[in-house]
Amino acid sequence: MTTQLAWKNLWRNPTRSLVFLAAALIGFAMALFALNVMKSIAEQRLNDAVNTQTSHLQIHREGFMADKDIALTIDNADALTSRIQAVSGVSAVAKRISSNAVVATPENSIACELKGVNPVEERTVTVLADFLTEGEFLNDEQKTPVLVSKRTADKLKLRLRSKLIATVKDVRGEIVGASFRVVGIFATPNSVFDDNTVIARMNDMQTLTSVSAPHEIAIKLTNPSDLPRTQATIAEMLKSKVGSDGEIASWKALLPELFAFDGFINMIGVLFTIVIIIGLGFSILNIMNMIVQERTREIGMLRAIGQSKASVFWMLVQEAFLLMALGAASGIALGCLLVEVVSKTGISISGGLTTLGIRPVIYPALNPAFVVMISILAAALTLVIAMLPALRALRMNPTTALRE
Amino acid sequence: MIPYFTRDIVSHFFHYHSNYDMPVIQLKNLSKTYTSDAIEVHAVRNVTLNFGEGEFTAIAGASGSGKTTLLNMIGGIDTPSTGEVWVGPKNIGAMNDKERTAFRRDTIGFVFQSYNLLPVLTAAENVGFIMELQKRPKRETEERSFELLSAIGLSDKLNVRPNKLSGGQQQRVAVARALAHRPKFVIADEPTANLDSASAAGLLDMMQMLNRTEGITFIFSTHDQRVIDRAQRVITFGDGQVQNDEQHDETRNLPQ
Repeated sequence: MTTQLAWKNLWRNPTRSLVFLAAALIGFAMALFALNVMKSIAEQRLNDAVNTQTSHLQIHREGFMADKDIALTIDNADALTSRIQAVSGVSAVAKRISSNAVVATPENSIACELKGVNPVEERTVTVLADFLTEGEFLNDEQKTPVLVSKRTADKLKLRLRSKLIATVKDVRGEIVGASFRVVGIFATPNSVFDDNTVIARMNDMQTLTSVSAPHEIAIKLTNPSDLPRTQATIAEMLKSKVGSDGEIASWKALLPELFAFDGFINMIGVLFTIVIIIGLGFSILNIMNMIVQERTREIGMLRAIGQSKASVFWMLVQEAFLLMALGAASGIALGCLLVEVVSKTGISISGGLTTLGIRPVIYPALNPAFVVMISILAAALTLVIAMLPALRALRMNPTTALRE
Repeated sequence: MIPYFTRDIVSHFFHYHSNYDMPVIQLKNLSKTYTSDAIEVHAVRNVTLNFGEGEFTAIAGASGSGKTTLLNMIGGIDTPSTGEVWVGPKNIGAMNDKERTAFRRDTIGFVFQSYNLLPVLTAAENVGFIMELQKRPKRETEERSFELLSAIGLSDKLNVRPNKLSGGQQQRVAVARALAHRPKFVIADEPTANLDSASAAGLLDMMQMLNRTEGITFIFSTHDQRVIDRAQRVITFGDGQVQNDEQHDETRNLPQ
């Protein structure tokens, strides 16, 4: 009965309710849309980094990540790779040699990470081949091939089939160099990776540096949400392997700045949503205060004829709840529709954000967790805010209220 | 004026014999003192009164004489500063807020000067509102609302909201609301104050008819001579005290 009465009371002043609903419609829709776009930007940036650079997990010899000492290779890497491949949830494994290098052409030179990869294995753990803008991916037929990014190619004035000289430290600590030929130019959304990475074949790198074993084993998972469990399983495996001092790290440890960016973006999104909901909450508070003010005599009458304090309180709280729920439901529905449309058309991110590794066009995906989060926030805030005027109504003396 | 067919319906539904000698309400040395701007206002001073079952009593007096305060204390809306209000075996002053609320809901019917109908509910919903609070079955509530609205000649206004009713019609609906849950007594504060002569007469006819047929005790405050003339007992109130308490001929001025 109180719910019916609350619903009818909502439409006593239709203009006031409709103005609030319009604000709630826009507020909730924008909050949901912004949350999903921001989350999609962070996820895209992370996915691009994981898919082109790190994979989900990596194994290195202890201390290798600190200074990339070329002597710190992984023993029995083939056997270890086979065992990792058999772990449940592991989709693909690739071995890599990695060294700090200086890459030079007659025009210019850059410091970078020179990675030696097995072309067949690499294609199973990264999607670098999908980002080739010119040329082709590495294969066994080519002679000392390398892949460079478009940004590196521009800096060094490289084209397909151009030569470059890579200088590295070999396993004895000697500075050695070799000439490579550009067979492919890539452009990933991961600008940090593009600026700092040149890809060669593993056997060419072994010849150049005289190392026989890889420095890195990259692991791709079938389902990224299995990461903690799979990481623990492989860590256990590494520990039980006698004499091994390999260590496993997830992309979160390998790309701490991206992990932090993801958290930052989520925090900004949640703060933005909280600000909108608090704004709407104050509107509700204002409306409820007006309602209690306008209906003082009526509340007095209801108490006089025997409506309990709890029932009056609940009736007023329900009125606020219904108003917020109606606004939230319509706003969330509009927000979902917006995300759905933009997930197909894409939204253009202008300015220099692409230099941060953000793609120029974002296709946001609807995250149901945001719908739940917004609904819970709105409900909790409404409950707290509606209580204040409802409690004020309860404190009214029916005799005094009836005289208003 | 209340229609003839309405009187027939009322008589058909309610058969009651009054027992004026049995006190249903007892006020014992009742006083109420307010403090307003550090000044003590003695609204009611040491009033002792009994009201018998089925009485039709007017509390007459000028504005500010303490009539409404007295009614509020009888109805359990306000609490006395000193003294006691007994309704049957229950001392209202000894009740906590929850008990007093339930007591008001189940025992008393209230009629207010400004009708105080809920504007978002229809006439029938307003009449059935207290029964809804009592969580009576929906069917019983609807039947009772129809019965009462028919009895007061508003059967064609069941689904009409108060803003589409005249003042007289609204006050009739308010009386029907006060009677719907079959209270022991009805307290009416200046029920005719906002009504024109014809509407006031019609309302009084109806209240008097219901008093006689259903035996409900009516206590109303008024300074309207038309109401005073129709009362069976008139208590004149002044300066917070009973100045006169007289019985009238109960058969006079009954609706013809």
